[in-house]
Amino acid sequence: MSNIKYTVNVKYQMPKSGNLNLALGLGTLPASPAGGLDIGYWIFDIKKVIIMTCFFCMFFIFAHSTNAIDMSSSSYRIIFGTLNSGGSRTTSSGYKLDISLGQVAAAQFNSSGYVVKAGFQYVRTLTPFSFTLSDTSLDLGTLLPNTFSTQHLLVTINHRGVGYEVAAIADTRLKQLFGSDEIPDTSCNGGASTCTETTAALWNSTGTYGFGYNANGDDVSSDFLSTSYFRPFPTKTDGESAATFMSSNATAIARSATVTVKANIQGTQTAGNYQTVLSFIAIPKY
Amino acid sequence: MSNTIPMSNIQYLTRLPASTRGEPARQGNAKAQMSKLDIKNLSLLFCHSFVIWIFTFVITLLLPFCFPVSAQQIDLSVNPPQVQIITKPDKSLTQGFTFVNGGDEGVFSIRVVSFEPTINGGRIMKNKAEGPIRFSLANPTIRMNEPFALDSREQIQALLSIRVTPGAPEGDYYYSIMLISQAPISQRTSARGVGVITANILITVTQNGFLDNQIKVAQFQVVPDYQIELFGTTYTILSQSHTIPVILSVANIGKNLFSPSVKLTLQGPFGLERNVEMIPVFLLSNTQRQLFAESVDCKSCANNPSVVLRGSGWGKYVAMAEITIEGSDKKLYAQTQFWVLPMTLILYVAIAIGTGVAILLLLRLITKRH
Repeated sequence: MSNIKYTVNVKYQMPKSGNLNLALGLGTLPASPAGGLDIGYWIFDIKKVIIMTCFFCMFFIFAHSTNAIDMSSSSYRIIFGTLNSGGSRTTSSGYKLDISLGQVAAAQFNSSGYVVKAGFQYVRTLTPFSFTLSDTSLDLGTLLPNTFSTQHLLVTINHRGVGYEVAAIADTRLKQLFGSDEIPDTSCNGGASTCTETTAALWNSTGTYGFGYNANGDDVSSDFLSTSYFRPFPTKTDGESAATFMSSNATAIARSATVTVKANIQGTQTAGNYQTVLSFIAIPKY
Repeated sequence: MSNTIPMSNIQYLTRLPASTRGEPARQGNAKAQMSKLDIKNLSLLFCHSFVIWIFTFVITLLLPFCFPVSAQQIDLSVNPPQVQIITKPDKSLTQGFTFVNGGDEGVFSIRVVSFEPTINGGRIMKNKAEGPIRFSLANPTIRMNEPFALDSREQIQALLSIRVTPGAPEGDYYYSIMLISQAPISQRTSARGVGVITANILITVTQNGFLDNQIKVAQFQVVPDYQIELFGTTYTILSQSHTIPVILSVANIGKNLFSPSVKLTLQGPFGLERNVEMIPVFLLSNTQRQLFAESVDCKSCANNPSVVLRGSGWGKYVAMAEITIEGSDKKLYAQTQFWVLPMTLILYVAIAIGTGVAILLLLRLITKRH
């Protein structure tokens, strides 16, 4: 056993010194008869790295000094500019920092009594906001119990402004053409997968009935996780507001989404033709 | 004979041989030949008619495939998509909106409804125009809420008369002008689609032209990878500098809308200074809105950042937003600071140092025992 050799190859051989080890309170290791392990060298290397790291940290810390400010919070600071007149200053915690500014309208206002500005500040030229629906007749055919019936249409938006929304609303539920029976709004698969007018959920069970829609494509609401996720339409007769299913805060060039309407009825549904009117509303953001 | 042959078959008679025409001596033979020829001609006529009939039938069958019949398409546009009006009470003005029907011909109507702004540029549409503003159409041929026809590729300029009633309270009133298509007629089980395109009408009523614009910085922060609380101070730390997502939301707590101009500046190590202009948008009264830069490309960002900046390596960064309101020389500054540190590397180094120290201690212990 005494003839066992253990060797560590090092690129730069350092003198075998126990000083660094002592400095760290580690003591010294006896050198092996045949070259042996130099712990001091390794400790020196680590120390060099630590010193260099500390140096750079200090450099970055003091690289940017900030000037005096009026307000600060853990997240941001507010510096008030030229507020010598007209404004007031308020203080509160967190993000509740505010400022009041007065602004007098242009001189044109005083002469004519009104000022009109058309278009968007961001867009230098006046460009139209346009909207396309590929089809307005969504014929669901003959509905069979426990069988999905679907139809599609493509919505396309072009807008050079600061974003848009497309919302949908139904006049009524799918209602019998010559009668009063209705196909209810879908609640999707139900249970944990219950959808609402603003939240889509999975609807792939033919055992759940109703009428709803899916949106798939550009800028669609994030709750439409796949083409199997549906929402019921809000209805005017229920006093509901149109639900946005497609929106963006950016310029839109040929942004499009496929809207799929789907119906499923149960065996006890009264025979007849059912209809509703779906409004697709394209709205430019302000 | 000529009476028995319909006029439409004259062309066939003209093909008869010359010998059969106007020679009394051979009238008997000619009559017999004529009868045979008539039968032949009639057969020929029948064959021709049959071929034409078949041809017509095939063409009729193929026509739908040559010219596919498309369902009714809606293609609408409006210009201008937005109008801002600052007016005194008891004033009337006319604003034109050009609607173009780029789709199939159809029946349309024009309506104006109020809307209530919500967070981040959203809205709740009302069923009618509310408030002290009165709207009507100055066009001679169309009326508000009444149907009118528009051909394909036809445009119409709706001359919207806007009247602010006397004594209208100061404040903001928001409306949408809508061009609404008429639903197609169907007797089958179907959903009948209606296309509605809208433009914004943002009206500020002020007696003396003084606008109450109050802005609040609702949120200004870097989306952190780590947040460390040390001695009562929260340090925001990012683990990399090539994608620095920043969220900036401002709120209008005043009575009137305005459009702030926001410049965001990032200062960092090695003299880094980047400036980004945020897209100017309207902040409607009592609403809050997140601002965005022109191109925000961050597929890996979990949040929806206002802007994604690129840093210059590890170190301390300062992000500053400079907010100005159009027509005012007053400025609002917001500032946030954060660190970009190689947290993973630091973790690995810490583990390595810890392991090294542990090994050394172990070796020392072993040495002592020996």
